[in-house]
Order: sequence, then C-alpha cells, then structure tokens
Amino acid sequence: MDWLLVALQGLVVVGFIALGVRSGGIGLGLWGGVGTLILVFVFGLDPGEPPTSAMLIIIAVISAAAAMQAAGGVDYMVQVASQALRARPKALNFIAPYVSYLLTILTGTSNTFFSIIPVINEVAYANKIRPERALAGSTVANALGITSSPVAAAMATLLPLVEIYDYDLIDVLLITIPASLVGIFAMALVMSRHGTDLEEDEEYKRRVAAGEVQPPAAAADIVLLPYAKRSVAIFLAGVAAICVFGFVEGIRPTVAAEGGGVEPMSVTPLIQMFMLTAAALILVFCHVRAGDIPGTAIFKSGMVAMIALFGIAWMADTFIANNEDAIVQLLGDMAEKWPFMIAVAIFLVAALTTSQSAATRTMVPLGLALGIGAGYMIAMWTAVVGVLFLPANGTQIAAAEADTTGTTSLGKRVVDHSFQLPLQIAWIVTALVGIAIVWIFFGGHTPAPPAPTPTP
Amino acid sequence: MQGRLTWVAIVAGVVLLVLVTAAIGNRDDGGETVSAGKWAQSVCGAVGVWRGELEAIVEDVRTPSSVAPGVEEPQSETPQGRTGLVRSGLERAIQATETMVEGVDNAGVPDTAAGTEAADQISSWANGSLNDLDQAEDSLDEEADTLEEAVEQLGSALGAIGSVMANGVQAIADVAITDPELADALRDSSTCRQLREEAGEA
Repeated sequence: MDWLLVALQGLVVVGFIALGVRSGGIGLGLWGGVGTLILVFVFGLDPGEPPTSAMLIIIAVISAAAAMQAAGGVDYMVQVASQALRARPKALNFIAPYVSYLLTILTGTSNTFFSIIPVINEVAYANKIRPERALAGSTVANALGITSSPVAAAMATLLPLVEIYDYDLIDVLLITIPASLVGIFAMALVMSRHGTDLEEDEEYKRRVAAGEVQPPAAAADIVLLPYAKRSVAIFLAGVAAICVFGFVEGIRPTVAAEGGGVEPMSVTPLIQMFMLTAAALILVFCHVRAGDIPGTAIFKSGMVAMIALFGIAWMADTFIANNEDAIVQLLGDMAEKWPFMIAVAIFLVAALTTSQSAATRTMVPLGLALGIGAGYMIAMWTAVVGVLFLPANGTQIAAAEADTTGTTSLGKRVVDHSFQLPLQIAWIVTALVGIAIVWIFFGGHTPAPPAPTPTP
Repeated sequence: MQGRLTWVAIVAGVVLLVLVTAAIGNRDDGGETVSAGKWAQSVCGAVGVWRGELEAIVEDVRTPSSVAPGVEEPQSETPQGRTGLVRSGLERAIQATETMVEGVDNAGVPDTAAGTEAADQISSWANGSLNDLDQAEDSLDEEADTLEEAVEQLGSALGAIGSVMANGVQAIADVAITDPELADALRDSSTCRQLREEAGEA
C-alpha cells in the first residue's frame, strides 16, 4: 500500500470539503463532484456510490415537511412549542436532542431525523434561541441513538460478537441507554451556553441587515391558516407510522430474500413511502396547491442540502471504498500496539469510514481479542458516533442548510463545524459513564473464570 | 475564553478516557502460564467472537445488499462489498481469523500437565484456519477456463469458510480429550458453555 498516495487522496478529499464549506449551499455538492472527478481521473480510483437512499429520503421528507409548511402546519407547531416552552424557552436545547435520540432508537436509522430538522430550527428561531444550540446537539444525539436502538444495523453487528460473553440485547441497552442519556445531558448543558445569543451573532445581524432573513415573528402574532392543525396531524401520523413499523419488524411488509423465503422490508423505503403519502394527504385534505410547495423555505433548504450531500458523500465514498482496508489496518495496528487507545481507534475508524457498522465489525472483535472486557467494549462502542467527525453526513448538511440564521455551520477548516463540540462532549461522557456502569453493575471484566472443580 | 476552556476540558476528557481504558487493562497473557479456567474462558471467548463474525459474513454473502441491514447507513457500503461478495466475505473472514489468532495467542498457556501441548494444539488449529482461508482467497485469483471451474472456485471458497467454522468447536473438544485436567475448565467456563450451545444450535 502506497501511503503517500492514500495521503494525497485524503488531502484531495479534505481540500474539496474545505472549498465546499467555504462556498456554502450547493457549492458543497459541486466541489464534492469535482473532488470525485479528480479521484477517478487523476488517481484512477473506482467511483464510489452516491448516497442514493439518503437523497431519496431527503426528497420524501422535505416534500412532506414543505407541504406542512405550505398548509401553515409549521407555524402551528412553532406556536404550540412556544407556548409549552414559554416559561423556559431554553429547555428546547435539551428536549430536541432527546426527541431526536428517541426517533433513532425507534427506527434504527438516523434518517428519520430529517423530518424534525425544520421543526427544531423554526421553534428555536421563533423563540430567539441560537438555532445551532438545538440543531447541532440534536444531530449528535440522533447519531448516538444508533447504539441504543435494538433495530439498528450496528446493533445487529455487535450482538453476535458479545453474546459469547453472556451479554445479550438487554445488557447492551442497559449500558448504552443510561450512558447516552447522561452524555446527551452533558452535551446539551454545554450547548445551551455555547456561542453568543442569536441577536448578538454577527453573521445573523449581517443577514438580517441584508434582508436575507426576516426577524422572527412573535408566536402570538402568527396567524394560523385554516388547515394548519390538520397538516400537523397528518405529518406526525406519518412519523409515528415510521416509528411503529421501524420498531416492530414483524408488522412490516415482507420482501423476497435472496437465500429463499421472505424477510421484513428495510426501514429506508418505508420512510420514503410514508413521507410521500403524508405529503399527498396534506395536498388533498389541507387544500394545499402542489405549486406552492417548491416555494417554501423548507423545500429550498432541503433541496440545497440534497445536492450538497450528493457531491460530498460521493467523493467521501469514492475515497473510503478504495482505502477502507488500509484505514482499518492502520488504526487496528495502533490499537494492537496500545490497547488503551481502543476507544479512540473506534472513534477514528467511524470518522474515516463514515460507517458505524464497519467500525463495529472491525474494532470490537479486535478489542475483545486484546482481552478488554466485553462490557467495557460495549461502553466504548458508543464511540462509533465518530461518523460525524467530518461534515460529510446528510443530517449535518441538512441541519446546517435548514438554519437560515447562519449559526449552524459546516466550518471553514473541515473539522471546525458546529457539530464538533457536541460530538466530542457526547462521545467522551457517554463512553466514560458506560465504563462506570459496567464497573458498578456488571462486575468489571469479562465473566470470571470458573472455579476449579476436582476431577473424580 | 469559555470556548477555549471547553476544548481544554474535552482534551482532558480524552486523556481521562485513555487512562481509564489503561486502568481497565487488557488481558495479554501471551506466553505466560495462566489458570486452566482463565485459559478456557479466553480461548472459548476468542473462538466464540470469531464464530459470530463468520456468521455475519455468511449472512452478508447470502443476503442481497439492497435489503441487508448494513445499508441503513447510505455512505457506508463499498463497491467491493456490493459486487465481490464472496471475495469480500473471504477477506473479512481472514481478518476475523487473524483477530482470533491474536486472541488465542493472548490467552497464554494453561497450568496443567499438558498445558503447553493444549495451547500449541489450539494455536496450530487457529493458524491452520488462517492458511486455509488464505489459500481459498488465492484460488479465486486464478482465472477459470470454464464456467464450471468458476462456479467450483466460488463453491470451494465458501466451503473453506464453512469448514474452518466447523473445525473450531471440534478443536476445543479435541483439547479436552487430550488434556483431562483442562476438560473440567472447558466444561465449566461460561464462554465455552455458550460456544457449545451456539454450535449445537448451528
């Protein structure tokens, strides 16, 4: 393996992400496309896969959310949330991350989060809360939900590895859920004080002065459209249906399995179907004209996010698909040499492969082989949230695009994005609390060796 | 100032996590003599984790990627994973077996009369499995002259995974026969019990 070549390719990826985040908007996707072209034509790499599923989910979710906005539903949600948060508006910084975390637990995928990004943004803005605080925290909490979800792909990868040590699904959840709850709280606490207040933010003031964004209307001044409540009910019913079908595998429609027989349909097409249906129902029952939907703010920011994700994720996948083995080998060697770095190695593998499942299947067995207790490995496994280290994930891009105030940013130097601070707080606190839980409740190391029994 | 303090706290957190992980310690007993119970626990643990990985690999090869749970994260799959399922399965099996060899080596030598032989026996089986899988992967590199040969190559490659998987539990059972002192430890260890149950289920 020519490490110089891998490093050069890595520099191309980082360089074009940097160019993209400086351009902002769809510039991110366009520069990602240029980066892909250079990786393929100059370095001769096989092109990776564009993130088709995520892009289609964004289209479906944005259609539903934009239809709801056209029907006045977003205004209604903002009004209700503002009334609920009247005494303590800043509670949004805590509630939003926990709601996003719960959505991932129920569906096993972070893609459901796309549906509440516009709502979190609007509620924060209407309450004059710096949207970055709630949006960045929620994005991280949402990714953390993967290690707490019984129906997530990464959990399915982990369980066969730790079952031999008598850790079943319940044991794993007893470690990851409380640890994540504490981690999210610590993150939300810091984020609720992070950055200047919205009205003092320079970028926001510039945008208001330039007329790029309107100051938030007071919740009391919002005039509701006639079918606003109905559109919210339809939208939330769609989200609830996704959660129910995501959590209860047995009620999903079945599809033909390759090895014969049938198996439950994956959650991804279900999200797309339910969200498109919700959008259609809003059109019919809330008297929204289809032509009004593309004019909504949610639709515009969602489409920009989709193009941005297209280019950036395609470039990242092209690099990763061709170099994943080398990355895993390098970090695996590091963990073998210094086993105390295993949690950091898991985080870095997740960051550089942008895959929680890949980090799980490569690093957890290694940690166990190095003799680290299975319970501790489960606690440190939560470090797979490191997938958010680089700003190349759909949820990060969508959150940044949704925030028209400009406080949620993808950074200027690739790693200085809005999600970095909550990410670092969340994974470190979660891993430490998880380790403490294992130490206290699971008796420390792997199950004790059996007491010698006399041979007759 | 507040921001800088937060980042200092984060760096301190990473250092604390590394220190805590170091304090938890790993269990590298490679070359050292350990109790029969501890050895049995470690070896069965390593073999059990390896079996879990191989099961996942076999499942991935059987299941088309469009409905496999792994594609829930859109950016995570590689073209190799989509097109060269058998080859990538073998590569992953080799990686898993290398990790298992490491785990077996780290288990040390049991403090029984025939402990050294037992440790050698298991280590030899583990390394043999690695060689078998390496050979299976090499055989895929040879260009097949006919379609029949190509299909046979694929069959042999998949057969190699199945064969080393079946031999794992047998290798441990053989050790129990050759070293009666270890038999009790292998019977009582929770990981060995779990391994027997899983192998029985399979």
